[in-house]
Amino acid sequence: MKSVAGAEADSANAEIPGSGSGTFSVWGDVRLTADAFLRARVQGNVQAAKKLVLAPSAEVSGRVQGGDVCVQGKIEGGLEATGQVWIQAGATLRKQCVAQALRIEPGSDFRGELRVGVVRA
Amino acid sequence: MSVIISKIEVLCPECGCAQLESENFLSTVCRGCGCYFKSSRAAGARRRKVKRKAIQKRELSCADCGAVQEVALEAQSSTCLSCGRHLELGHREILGEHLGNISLEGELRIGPKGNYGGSRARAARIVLEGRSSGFLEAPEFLRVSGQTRIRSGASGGLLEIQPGSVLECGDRVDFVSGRIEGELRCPVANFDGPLSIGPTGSVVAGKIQFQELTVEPGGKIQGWAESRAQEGAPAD
Repeated sequence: MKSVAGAEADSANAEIPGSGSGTFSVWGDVRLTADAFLRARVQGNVQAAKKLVLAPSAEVSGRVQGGDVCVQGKIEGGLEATGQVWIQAGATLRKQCVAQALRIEPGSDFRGELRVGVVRA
Repeated sequence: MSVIISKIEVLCPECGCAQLESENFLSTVCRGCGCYFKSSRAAGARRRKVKRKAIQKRELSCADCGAVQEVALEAQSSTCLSCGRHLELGHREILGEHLGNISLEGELRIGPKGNYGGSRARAARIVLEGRSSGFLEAPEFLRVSGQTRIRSGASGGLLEIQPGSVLECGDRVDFVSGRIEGELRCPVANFDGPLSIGPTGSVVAGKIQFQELTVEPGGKIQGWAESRAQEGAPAD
């Protein structure tokens, strides 16, 4: 198992690597300033400035923030997106989902507070 | 007055013996071999089969016992073959105050000034434009148009709230699917299948359950929510 403490990526298309040769874990928060594809386990929060895809192998124990977010993996600490959110079959999302538009596919697992298209008071 | 009956020559199909018979004969016995045979007209060789118009039928389930029977498509009423209950198959419209339970297999329309004051109304299709104190059950669909209110709950197939319309429900709503273009406010909203919220739609509920959810840009949903597992999906 490979692990690093915290991560930051700002290339044009960032990719936090995954489990090609084992599980890649990040202990701490991850900040992504470009479109990103996340395949790692993150013990912390993930903050993406633009589009974010969480692969089926991705697991985030904390909160995920982003623009448009596509969830195929697992988020334990809630998701807050400024754009659209897709929660695909096999994905798990807990605690909260805040978005401007949302699609939850059959076969996904969501449980928590849902706030879509509602501006926080 | 005597009537001349014209004769025709017929051949026995067995021995080929010829004999004269009335031109309208249907059957006879051969005078040569004693064989009984029918005329070609009686045998139906030339008779064109005219199919009776098939009566179109539909399945009907009793609101009380649930027994299923077939009734003609045009039937206005029937009796349950299982429990004997009278089944009203037509449509009904409530334009004022209505008390008492309703159970019909057709369409129930509660007009803008209508108020259903009974405890339970069941109709295959319900169009709600006014108010209801009682529970509404619509196995096919409940269509909401205008500013409406149900003091108790509702259940059925499809819940459809049209743009600009509001449904305020005092108790839980249980439907198979939902298409929300207007506003839905209720304590619990449960959809066994897909729930779709259009660009003008809004759902505010204490608890929302669904199997599949789509909220288009502009649409709103707020509440504690839970996605339901697909039927037949393996349990963890």
